[in-house]
Amino acid sequence: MMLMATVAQAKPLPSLSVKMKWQGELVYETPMKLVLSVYSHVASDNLEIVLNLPEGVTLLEGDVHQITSVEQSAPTEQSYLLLVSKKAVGLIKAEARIKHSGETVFYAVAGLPVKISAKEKLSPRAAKTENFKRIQRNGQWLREYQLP
Amino acid sequence: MKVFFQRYITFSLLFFCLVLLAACSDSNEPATGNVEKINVTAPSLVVSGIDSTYDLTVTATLKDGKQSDTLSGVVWSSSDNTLATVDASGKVSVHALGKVSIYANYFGLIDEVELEIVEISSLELFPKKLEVTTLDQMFSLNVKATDDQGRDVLTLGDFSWSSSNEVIVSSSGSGEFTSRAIGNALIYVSYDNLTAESQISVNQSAKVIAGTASYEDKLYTTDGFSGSDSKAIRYASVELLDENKEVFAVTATDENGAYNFGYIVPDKFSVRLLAQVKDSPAPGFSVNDMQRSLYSFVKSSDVDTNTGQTALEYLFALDQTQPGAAAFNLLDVVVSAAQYSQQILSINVSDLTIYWEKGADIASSYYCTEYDTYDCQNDKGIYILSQKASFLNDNPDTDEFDDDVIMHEFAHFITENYSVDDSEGGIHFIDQNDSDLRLSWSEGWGTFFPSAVKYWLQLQNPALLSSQSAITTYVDTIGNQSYMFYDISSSEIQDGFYYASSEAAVSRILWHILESFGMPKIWDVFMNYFPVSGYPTSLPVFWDGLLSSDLYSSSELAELESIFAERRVYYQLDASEADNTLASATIQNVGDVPVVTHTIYNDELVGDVDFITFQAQAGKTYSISTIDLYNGIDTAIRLLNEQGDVLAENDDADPEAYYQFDYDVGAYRISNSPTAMASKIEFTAAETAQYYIEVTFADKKSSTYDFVGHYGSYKVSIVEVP
Repeated sequence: MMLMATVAQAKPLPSLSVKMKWQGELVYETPMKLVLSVYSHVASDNLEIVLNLPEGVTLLEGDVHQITSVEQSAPTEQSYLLLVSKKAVGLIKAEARIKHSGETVFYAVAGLPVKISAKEKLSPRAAKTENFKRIQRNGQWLREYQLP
Repeated sequence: MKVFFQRYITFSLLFFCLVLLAACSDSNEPATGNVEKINVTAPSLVVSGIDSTYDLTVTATLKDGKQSDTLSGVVWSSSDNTLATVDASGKVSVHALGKVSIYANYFGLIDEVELEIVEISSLELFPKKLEVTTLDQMFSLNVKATDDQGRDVLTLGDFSWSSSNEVIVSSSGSGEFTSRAIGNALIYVSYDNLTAESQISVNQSAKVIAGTASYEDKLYTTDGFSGSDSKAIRYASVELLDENKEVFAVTATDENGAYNFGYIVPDKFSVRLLAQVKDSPAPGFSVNDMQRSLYSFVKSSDVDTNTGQTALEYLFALDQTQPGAAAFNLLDVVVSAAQYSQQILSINVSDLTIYWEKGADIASSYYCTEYDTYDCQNDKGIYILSQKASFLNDNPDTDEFDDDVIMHEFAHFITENYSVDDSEGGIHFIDQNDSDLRLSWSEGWGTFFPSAVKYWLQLQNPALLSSQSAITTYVDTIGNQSYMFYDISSSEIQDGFYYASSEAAVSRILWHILESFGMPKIWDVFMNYFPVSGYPTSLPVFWDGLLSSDLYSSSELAELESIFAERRVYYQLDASEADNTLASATIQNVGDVPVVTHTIYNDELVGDVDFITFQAQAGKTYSISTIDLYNGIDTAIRLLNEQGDVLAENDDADPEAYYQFDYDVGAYRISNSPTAMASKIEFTAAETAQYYIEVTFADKKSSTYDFVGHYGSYKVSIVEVP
């Protein structure tokens, strides 16, 4: 007997994950500490961490590109001192890669917004919509595209 | 068993197939000992026509992977001679309605097909309209016969053919016609009391409607997407529509993406290409959106006024706003997997729906066994992830071109539908090594399967491969980058990828078995052992199945043990054996750092019990525990004195630790951490003497939720309590 009859068998995920948080609430025009933590089930001496800063965010301390090690099932933390201007927009993006023989084995990414611009807020609406219609044929619904 | 599920009887096509088969035949009869397995092929599994005959063919797969259709010595038999009989050449004679199995036995290698003999309830002729452009042109039409369930039926019974006007179109009486004069005629076909017709127009300005269909596929390496390549859209349904958008001719693309409706009459028409395969090699496969609508693409005619020919070319590029390339890649990947399943696993897979829609944020890519109200709202099938790009997610994860992910889910599809899979599914991590054994087995199989298919494709048709890296690498991308990759053949990336409770270890073990013993050996366990073993599917049960299916030489058994041991899976007696009695107990001193790894192996067959002895001092208290438990073992320990009296016993030091309710899955999962199912006894010695610890496998197999392992390894810790 199973508690739930339906089974959803999902694809495998890597345990590599990246998280970022400010030490305290974000205050503009003031040096702020950003803590980045990386977690992996796999130990590695070749963990690459890249921090991408958007316009208006200045690095005061820390290395935005580094190769370090990570222990199995133990978080590795990096900290950065950043200055975020009031005009800053976009996303601080952290990427982590575990490489082996020069190739990426696991990859993880996380984003932390500093401010959402009006343009970016609207961007989903500006996306192109697909040109199709639904029709029914012999009891089967079709998602039909008319091609040129 | 390979089935050509042929919907339409086209005599010219039959002739072509016969020529092709003859060209592909291996004229050299293989030696009996070189044959690995045989496959019986029927022209269709649903047939009609009492007193009709059907030819079955048998193909041999040789031990070197090659195939031969030249076999003598095959013995044929029928499960019910009142329904159908079979002669020595494999010709089946149909006698009555019902289901009957036809067996082929080649020196102990057996395969079968189950034929269903039915009545035909409707007939159709295709095309419904045909234009012939020259006089004295011979042509034929397709008959579609279906039963009362709408299934396509092959019948070789006597059709009656006729023409309404023999002056314009003459009939041979056996389905062949010839244009004799300009004008119109009706062609009739009848069978029992059923009739169908087609309109024939003979003129010299008709159009030939044909074309090709292809899509732009993404190539990938272990670093992510690396480029693109044009691929044929294979075996997809194509419909010809008249100006009222009514279907009046159907066909399918061939293995090169080409389709041809022949000579067709309408002045205005369009062609519809569907993301579905109706017949062999993947009958009932389709790609739908999340509203269960089948992807469909329509183009209008483009007539060459000089030649009268019309070619409608489909080329779905990656950068178009419509999803043709993605839909047809999804279809193509599972078609390849279906072909592999037919050729190597001898299973005829059918009826698979893929649900995918650009920007439809579902939890992951997964296979659903049936409908539910949450993840599986479209019923069973493969659901493919396509995250929506947003401000907070400018690198969305989409899997429509991640062939390994698609084949991983296909692997779940075939075990759920053609074998047994007891995994509860849900979220899992490739680098986790303390998983429930049912989960690690199921997912390890899923991660191994793409490499098995790619290995076969590399031999059969490498142009179909999208992977530009080693075929043994499982790659999942996010954006254009590799999200992760895992080489199941490599032993370099090892940290954490150990034990039966690791899906990565399971996939690596399966790969090495494929390399050394072949895929049929693996799949045989799925077909013939899992369904009857009485245990939930897992790596140790697979091991039992391997050993039950064949007799191995000592060197072969040693190789198998080595493959498992490389992933620290020890399905063998340990170095301390035989320690099954007090007299043969292994000596361990109090306080020693535990270094000896014990295994419990074949506990049910030969009753493996381990005894460890130590000397205790009167009045002192000792803590005895099992530690470093791996591969799913659940220990139970008893403390005995020199006379064999039981002084204390324990199953689980923490009875709540070994299973946890997983809210994501909605079921219990066993934890296989090194301590979850450990045992522990504390006791104070009444006298200075030798004491004995008996370690056995705890019996939890009878409980519904408490499936643990089968075998496993552990160490013993004996320390004095201050």
